[in-house]
Amino acid sequence: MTEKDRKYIKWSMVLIVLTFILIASALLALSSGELKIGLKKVLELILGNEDKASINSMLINQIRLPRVLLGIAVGGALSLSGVILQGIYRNPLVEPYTLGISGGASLGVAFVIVLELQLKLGEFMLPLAGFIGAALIVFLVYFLSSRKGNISIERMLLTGVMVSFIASSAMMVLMALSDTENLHGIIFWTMGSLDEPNISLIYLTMIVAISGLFFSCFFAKDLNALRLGKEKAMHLGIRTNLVTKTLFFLASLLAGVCVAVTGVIGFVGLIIPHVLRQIVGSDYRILLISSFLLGGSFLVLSDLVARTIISPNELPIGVITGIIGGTIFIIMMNSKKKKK
Amino acid sequence: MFKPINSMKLRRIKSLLFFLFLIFSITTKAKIPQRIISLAPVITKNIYLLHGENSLVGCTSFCKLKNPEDAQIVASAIQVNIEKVIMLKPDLIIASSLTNPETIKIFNKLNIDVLYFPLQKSFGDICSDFQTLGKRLGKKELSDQIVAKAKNDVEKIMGKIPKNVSAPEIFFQIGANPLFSVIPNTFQEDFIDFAGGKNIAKNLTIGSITREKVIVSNPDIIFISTMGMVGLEEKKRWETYKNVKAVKNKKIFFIDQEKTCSPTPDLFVEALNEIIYDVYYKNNKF
Repeated sequence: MTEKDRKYIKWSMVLIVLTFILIASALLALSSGELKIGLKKVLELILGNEDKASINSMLINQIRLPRVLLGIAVGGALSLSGVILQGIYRNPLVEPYTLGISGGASLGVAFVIVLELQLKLGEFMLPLAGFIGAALIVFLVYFLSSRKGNISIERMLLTGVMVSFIASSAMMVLMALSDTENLHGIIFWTMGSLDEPNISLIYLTMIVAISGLFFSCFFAKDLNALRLGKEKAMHLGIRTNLVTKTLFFLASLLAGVCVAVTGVIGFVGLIIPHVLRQIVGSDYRILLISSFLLGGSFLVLSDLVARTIISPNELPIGVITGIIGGTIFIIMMNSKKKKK
Repeated sequence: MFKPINSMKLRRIKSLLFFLFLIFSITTKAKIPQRIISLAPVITKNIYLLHGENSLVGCTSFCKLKNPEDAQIVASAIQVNIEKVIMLKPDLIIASSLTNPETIKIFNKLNIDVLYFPLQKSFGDICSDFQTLGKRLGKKELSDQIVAKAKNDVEKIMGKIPKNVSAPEIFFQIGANPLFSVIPNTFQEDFIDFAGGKNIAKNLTIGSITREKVIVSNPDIIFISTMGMVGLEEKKRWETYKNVKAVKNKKIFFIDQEKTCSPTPDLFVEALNEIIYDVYYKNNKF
């Protein structure tokens, strides 16, 4: 058995295990909550012809299943976005929100809440404003960082960080001017939630996430080449400018849609690629899909913790991902140090 | 023997008493604030109810003024423009639990009189705070009258609750994203208690509640404190859970946020009246 065969077997095993973890997380999240429902019953309620108006069916089909689907899509998309951006910038500390995407989306949402547009026009204004805010920031970062069609990776990163600060400060201005109820709305929005009533938005997020995964797989070899640096990648025949631009917009689209639908859920795009690099290495052919699977599982489990740990109260999911993600990160850093 | 007072002496005594009364009146009147700043919308509403708007010189940008010239804006919901406050030379600042404690300390250092109202936890608190304010504005009698009428009205309204009905389970929603419920130890729970209902969130200490908990509790009635379009969408969302008793019996109602979240004594009475009507008489009788 060659080295290559062994590698592929390892990758297959990793994918099987991660898929199993994702399914197990989803089933656990579906069966746990205010009412504990057995796994067999859960499957019957989803697949069978049980009374759709019963309390159990409402809990599974109208509350938990949409959250689980959204958790898989958003967790997967944010991890994917993180791993792509870390590949482009060759910087392990970059995550989707480093480039100002969360700041832009939060600013858009704060603007809508302060003007009370969601009260006048409908709640769809929140995700719409979030997405527009994120998109504007992404384009601003892109245009400020490009010179004559060339992209400077370092400039882009620095511009992103600075624009992010400006957007956060602008949001604080809006918060200082808003009344207490609106202030409350803005703060909770920035903490994230998977409680999305609009099923169409959940489907849209799933489609964007899965399409993003599918599309990014075509760039796995380019990302591997970019690991060697921009110049070496160019020598290998990679059109680095085009690849960088395409992947930057793909990662931004994924993060922008997620933040627009669920609010700011931090750390997923940072921690998941880190954990997986320790397990599967830095080859993007396995890293992209495995990040998607583990990111989905992580967010589904985080949501389960958020809605059960102080039940019947609920914690914002961003708090849970921040605490768990930060703790895992510190543990990993310390274990690396000990090994050295 | 008892000597009768002659008319000269009597006149002197009368003059002395009149003089003392005059001094007492002047000093008492001097204590009544003439330049008031209100740092919460509910305080401004109470000042209007006490007809004290002539003394109002400053308020927050969220206070509803009957006439824009009644007062100047000196604060947002949480941030007070201290310089502007000083420029208005207030002799009384009325602060609430939303006011930054550091700001109050600054006013104390500047020797400006501050009347502070902590978070109101019951209808009783609403009434006693209103009376404190009335006393401070020199409108004690009026505030006592308003409170007495409000308490009397509450009793009358409670008399409309039908006898021999089991206490309805009520979910009182005051926020949508995240879902927020009325909890114990708040004046809003008095709406439920006075209406003879049971709060499904009676065991909670924090207002955020999962949608699952509401569905599992299966409330008889859902009240949504109005939130514009968000409130309408919330109602639509509850209506998708067809087996919940409140949905089956068409017992999902809106209630004016102005009356339920920052009520004056009379607005509390109005809200309670609506709630009792909705619970027992509107749509299907309970």
